[in-house]
Amino acid sequence: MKKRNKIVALLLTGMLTLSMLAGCGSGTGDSAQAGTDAPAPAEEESGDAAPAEQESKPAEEAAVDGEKIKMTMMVWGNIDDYTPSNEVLLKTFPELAEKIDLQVELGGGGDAEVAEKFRLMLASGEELPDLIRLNYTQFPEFADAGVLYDLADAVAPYEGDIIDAAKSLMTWNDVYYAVPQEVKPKVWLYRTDIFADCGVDPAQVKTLDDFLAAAKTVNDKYPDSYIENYGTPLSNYDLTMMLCATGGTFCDEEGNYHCATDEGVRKAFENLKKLNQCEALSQIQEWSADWQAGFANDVLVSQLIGGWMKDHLMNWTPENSGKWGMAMWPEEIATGSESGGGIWVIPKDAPHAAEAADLIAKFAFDPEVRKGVYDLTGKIPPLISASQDEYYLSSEYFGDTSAYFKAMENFSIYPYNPASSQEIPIVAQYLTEYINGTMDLDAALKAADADLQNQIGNPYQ
Amino acid sequence: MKKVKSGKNGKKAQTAPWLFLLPFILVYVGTFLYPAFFSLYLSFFKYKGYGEAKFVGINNYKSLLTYRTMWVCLGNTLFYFITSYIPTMLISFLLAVMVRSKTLKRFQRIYKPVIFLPQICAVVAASLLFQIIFGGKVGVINQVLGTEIPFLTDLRYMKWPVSALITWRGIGWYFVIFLAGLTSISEEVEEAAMVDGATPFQKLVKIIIPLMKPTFMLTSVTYAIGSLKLYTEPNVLLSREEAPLQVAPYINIVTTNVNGGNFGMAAAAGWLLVLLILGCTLLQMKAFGGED
Repeated sequence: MKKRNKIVALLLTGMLTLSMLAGCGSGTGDSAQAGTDAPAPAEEESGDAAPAEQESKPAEEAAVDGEKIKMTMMVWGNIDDYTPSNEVLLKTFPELAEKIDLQVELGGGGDAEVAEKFRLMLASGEELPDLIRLNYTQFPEFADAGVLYDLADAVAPYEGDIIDAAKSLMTWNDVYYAVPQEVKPKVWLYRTDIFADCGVDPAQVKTLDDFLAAAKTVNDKYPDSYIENYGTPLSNYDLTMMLCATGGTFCDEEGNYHCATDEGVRKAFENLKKLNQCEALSQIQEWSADWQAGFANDVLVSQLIGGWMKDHLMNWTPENSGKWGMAMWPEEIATGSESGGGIWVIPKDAPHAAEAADLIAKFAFDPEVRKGVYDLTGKIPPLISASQDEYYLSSEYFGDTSAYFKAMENFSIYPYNPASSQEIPIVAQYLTEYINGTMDLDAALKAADADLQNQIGNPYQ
Repeated sequence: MKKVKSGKNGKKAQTAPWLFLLPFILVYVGTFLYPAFFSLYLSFFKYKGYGEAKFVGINNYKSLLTYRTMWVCLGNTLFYFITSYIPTMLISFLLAVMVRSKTLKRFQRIYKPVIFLPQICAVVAASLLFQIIFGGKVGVINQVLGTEIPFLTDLRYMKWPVSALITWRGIGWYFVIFLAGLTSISEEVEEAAMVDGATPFQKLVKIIIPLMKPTFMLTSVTYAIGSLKLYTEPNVLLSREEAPLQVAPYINIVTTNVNGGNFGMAAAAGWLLVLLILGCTLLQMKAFGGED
């Protein structure tokens, strides 16, 4: 009896051990959905490996079996923001729908989390998604590390129709490693009714001082309304958008940090402080609860921002359709973009890299797909043909949208490097110190240099 | 005295407990000890998670200790710890004492879940709720007071809503622990004190609090560990992604480095935190006479 108990105890212990080890598989819930090439040993033993294997079959094998390829797309935010656009693509290309099962999976709440997940997947050898959405900010790190798939062949059929701004977003060392998810030129969105009432014409606002004067004019007539908000801490994109305009860089091409001596960085800091301290501009912080409410209750009646903001405005205040307009930034600070834009990349070792490249090129550049996506989301195609197509040159919400395409002429990308994700928050904190008056400009820039040197050393090494 | 079994049976008796412990040991070694020591090893390298790792000796530690922002974030963490520790402990202990009193005891079924409720509420949901409460123009507090205090956007005020959130969430948990601690005090001791003429206040100060010393030590140590590892509350409440470094907790030094692909530095920051927690725990055990 005792012996039998011991055997049972041993068996149970063994089972418990195995079950616990099985529970310690490498994948998260999300990745499990995508399937893995190397299922956990316990799964193999239990005979449950088959479905996982099916999910990760190489394209050729799947084609022979007549099965669909399971292609995964890692994004941030909300899956529902992507699925309808994917449906447009698959409807336009039924042959893709027949052979590809496109799954969207969340990589996190924001771009930094997706980049972090990608990094961890590369580190752990976990199966990679076929498509990853990033912002250009993270692009240099992965492109420079040689972990991205070369998209030249897939992009070739569309190359002649792609606008230069989009091409600069796609390229690293003259190779196409990305396709644009959204190009983000600097656009000035404003309330046409209020501006007209105040006699402010955005086209006549050429300098930063003109902009501040316009702010005063609007605020004098509408004391509760502001044409911008520069509450601290500023958003990181406020800093990079201004740096694009002033030509500032944190380090030289050899990777030596030089914020304290770079005229462009100094000018960007000074401009942002000037904007922050203008009483005719609001102190609301971007992405705070007050910000979104500000557009609904006419507290914020204009924004100097990236092109993506138009989609948010359309969603947040649909009742203001027809009241908003689009213009270019004041000439003095018009050059640049907001982090370049959103991009799609394909990991070099993705299970279906070639098929994913073909799919994403169609998604980004096929005129019919883009038209469908535009109807759904308002995202203007990065195509030369679109810039000449009346269909895109006006919208119900914004009226004349030609300024969006004109802004593309001033498009440039801040020279991000492989350590930019870490650099920007470090510099941003000293921008806040400078704006708040807790440090003078020299001290703030020197402290930024010291921290960048301390934490990163050389971004290219 | 019982004779220790020797020979074949004795050996089996010695092996059996180890076999029962084996699942835990395997999991502990595989999922905790190995990664922990690997991260210690990694802290001496410059490594972005993939590609080549470059040995840098103790440079990561040196860089961190001379990194101004690291000290700022550590200061923020200590601020969040101190400003939430005192009200959390005080309120949860007093609530536990009150709920245990004879008058209120019969309504325990109502009080207990109500007080514990914030603890069940998901931290992200609670943070979003506090964003609405402390919002600048549209916030509940500002609406009620008719003010426009930028609680969540001005660096001078930003830390206080975080402390309020931590306190609000923590009270329920520590209330339950204190309540458990109070039930371990024998009613006879309390009755004897009453018979000897002790007032309720004297009973609390001279009997209950001294007898609750082990519970205070437990709550204090666990609270300190939890506070030093604080991450979600300030980051969700104060920002869309990560809080500005001026108000960020220490863990943001780890996450900023992970986000920047600087895994070696992140590992070093993690190990500095381990040392800090160890020091803090030993200090508290000493203060509470834990060796007794």
